Amino acid sequence: MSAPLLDIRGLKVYYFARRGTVRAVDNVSLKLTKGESLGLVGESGCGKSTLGLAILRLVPEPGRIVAGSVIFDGLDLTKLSEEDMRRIRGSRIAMVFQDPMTSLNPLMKIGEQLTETLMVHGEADKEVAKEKAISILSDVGIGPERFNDYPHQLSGGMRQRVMIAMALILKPDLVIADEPTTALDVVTQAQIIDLMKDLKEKYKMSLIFISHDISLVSEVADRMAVMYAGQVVELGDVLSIFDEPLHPYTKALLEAIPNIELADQKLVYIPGSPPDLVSPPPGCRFHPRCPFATDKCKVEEPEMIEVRPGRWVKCFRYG
Amino acid sequence: MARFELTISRHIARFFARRAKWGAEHYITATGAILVSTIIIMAIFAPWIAPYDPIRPVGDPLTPPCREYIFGTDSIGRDVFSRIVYGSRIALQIMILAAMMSLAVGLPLGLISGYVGGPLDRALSLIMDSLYAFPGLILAIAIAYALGPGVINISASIAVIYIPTYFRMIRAEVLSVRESLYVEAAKGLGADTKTILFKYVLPNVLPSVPVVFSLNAADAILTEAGLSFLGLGLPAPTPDWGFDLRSGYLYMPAGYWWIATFSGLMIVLSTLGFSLLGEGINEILNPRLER
Amino acid sequence: MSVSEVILEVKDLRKYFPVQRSFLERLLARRLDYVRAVDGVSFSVRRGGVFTLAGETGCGKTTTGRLVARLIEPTSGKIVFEGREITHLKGKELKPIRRKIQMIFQDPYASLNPRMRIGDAIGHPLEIHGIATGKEKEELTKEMLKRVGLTPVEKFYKAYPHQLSGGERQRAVIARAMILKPDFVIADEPVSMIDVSLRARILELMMELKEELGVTYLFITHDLAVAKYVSDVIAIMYLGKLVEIAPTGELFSDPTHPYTQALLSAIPVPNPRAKRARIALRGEVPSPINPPPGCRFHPRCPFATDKCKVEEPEMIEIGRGHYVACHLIG
Repeated sequence: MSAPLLDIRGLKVYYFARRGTVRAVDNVSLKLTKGESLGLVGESGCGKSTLGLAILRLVPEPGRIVAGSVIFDGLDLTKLSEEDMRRIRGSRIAMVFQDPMTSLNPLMKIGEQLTETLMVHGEADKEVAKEKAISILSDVGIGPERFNDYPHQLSGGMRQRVMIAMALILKPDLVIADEPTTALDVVTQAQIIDLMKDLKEKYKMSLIFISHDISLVSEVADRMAVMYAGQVVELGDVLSIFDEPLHPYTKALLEAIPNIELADQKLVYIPGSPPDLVSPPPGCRFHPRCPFATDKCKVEEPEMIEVRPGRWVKCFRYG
Repeated sequence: MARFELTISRHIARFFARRAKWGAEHYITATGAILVSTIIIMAIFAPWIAPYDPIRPVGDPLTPPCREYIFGTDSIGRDVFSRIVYGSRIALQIMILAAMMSLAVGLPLGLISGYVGGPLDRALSLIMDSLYAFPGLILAIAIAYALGPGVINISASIAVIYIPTYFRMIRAEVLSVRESLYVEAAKGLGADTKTILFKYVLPNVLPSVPVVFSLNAADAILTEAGLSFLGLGLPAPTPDWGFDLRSGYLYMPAGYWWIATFSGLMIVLSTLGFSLLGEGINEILNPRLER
Repeated sequence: MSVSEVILEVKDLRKYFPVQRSFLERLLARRLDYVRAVDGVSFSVRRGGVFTLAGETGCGKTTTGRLVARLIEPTSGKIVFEGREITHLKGKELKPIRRKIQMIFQDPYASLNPRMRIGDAIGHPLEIHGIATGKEKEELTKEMLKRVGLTPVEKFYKAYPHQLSGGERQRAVIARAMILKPDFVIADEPVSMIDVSLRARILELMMELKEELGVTYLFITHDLAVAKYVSDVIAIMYLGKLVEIAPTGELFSDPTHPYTQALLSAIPVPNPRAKRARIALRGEVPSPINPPPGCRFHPRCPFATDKCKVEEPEMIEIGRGHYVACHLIG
């Protein structure tokens, strides 16, 4: 059993806002092995995006990593200097964001943005850089004739492909994709997902795929972490979670999704609403909305328990 | 003219933002509020605060500050302190009057122009932009000269300078509110233009007014002082800070510093007070310094 | 089941938006470009059901919804509601129609006046249409609040929108639309901005009110899974035109138009074992400013023929209530 590529231990990320301290990520521990793809699933405000940003130390003000460690290939990223972090970003860990229009430089041709990235990170030869850029653009399905296009000349789907190319060009060990297809239409989304699956194989990269769409995550990820109110409530391989969701939230979430493969579906909803992360409920954060809540759930916070090898739940129903 | 104070207050704000427990905007607003209320109290309770009659000579001319005359006396022998105190009345009157007149004209015009659009909007915007292009003081001078002295006339001449400010600001807000979904929803409900203007547009545009009002007031004081300084303000012997600054200014080279200094100081403090108040309220209503 | 009457009929509806251009462009160019958002759409909706307009962003479904709601003027075409043509009504004549046609919007954060209390907002339509004022208005509003589950009623009556969660706001919007007991409600992506775990609640509420008040829905969505769940009839739109209309079951069991087929194959399904036979489409959605000649879909269609490149296909009926616009069929 090799050491994990990424080992997050007890990570806490809080936002110190005027109205109070928002406990966006509250004691999260996760491991990712090399070559694995992990899905981070949850609804709005569950902390998944913050977690992704925290790995790269990109959490915006007034947020801060308050506790815990993020150990990447032996290095604790939370303890690195900003300069060292900058060397890791892009070259060893890359991020793909939701909106390609704001992440790409609108004034620079896309080919140039790629070659620029290469040269900033040490590639001296301009010709070699251009070759690499063209090669990676073709990997993501963009022909060399578009090398000199500006971002606004490309469609949303193509821009997202460029984003992916930018992320991959330095051959990072880990790619974090935060809702990469949310802004795209369904057909393009399917294309991008298929692309990511192919690239995953070809580049043997490790991937963290963040999305609110659990169906989408199930297509790309091997393992999945379900997040609620800043915490991971269930963790395990995708098949096993879909076959047998353990946490009441996961169960309810799966039953809330309209599934076109089912003939007569009765959609379920979870009463109440997600908690305010400034003052989350005591005990288990899900208890106000949980059909199985007991008195213990209201006062004590459950631990993350390994029910079977590799299957973790944060719920008193399992010990 | 109050823009300089604005920049200062913003820098002060940022300084405090990093170390304050309270939001910086609270410090700014508090300071502004204190200054403004001091002036208001001064104005209301003038007869009780001022030891002497401000328009009659009560002592030897050009007496330096002493126990009898805290701020000294001016060239005719009037108590400077009393004049300062009574001066606040004039300042406040003119300032509030001017700001209200501006608002009364600028707000409705901006509202209608922004919402209705079309040729009316283009015409009004053109007029307002031309007015806005004039350096404020010059415009005020021209109008003050035309209208003549008197509190209302002075207020009017100052008011004209700020009408375009209200107009532009309200119009800009209306333009954005007009496109918002809730206005469209209101149309979908069947509401007529009048209802939409008063119930949906106006309430959403109004919050930006107090800030501009405050900053306006600050600027008005400066303009009024400017006018008085140039001799176009209120006639002597009305206690007026600008006037005193003017008359005191002539005596400064001779070493009689107190007349000009104290009236000048009052102008600065009142402008600063209103600016800070305006900035502070703005930060509280539309937080920008912090997430 | 008896065939219910047609409540809404849309005939060859078009909406073209002039493209914004700079001053210089206007001087130099000879003709104006238009965004052909809705380009000849015809359909009819039967009373009491849920008719869904489905398609991707930019296909024109939202614009169609706003045209039917008469929030914008059609460039050409006809809208016939309850037998009466409402295409060009304005002002006073339009007002009674507004009482019968209501709209629910996508963004619950933006469709409520931030300066109006929820109670006032929901009761406002009663005032506008002179149905109730004062105490009576308050009573009816509170009843509505209870009906949509915004309890305790007193708390929500006085609250401002920013104090409510997304799901609660959407329920307030539904209350506001339903308080007039309209005949026809246009729901534009009503759950797209709501968390997944809360969507069923909103959809359930909408369907309950449909039964109670006899409302007909024009449901607009890009999410076909949601469409399948609520609709009786689904119409697929592409680049301003309708490509297929069918009763829900049939659309999913027998998708005929190539675009529909591709769309259905692309929908993510919560089943990691599913082996999806993805129909890959070439390219991306073209710009609605200069749509491709002939069949709009031909540049991306895996089955495109020469005819498809020049001639626009007509909408033909291939089954009961099932229509397709494609040269390969019929």
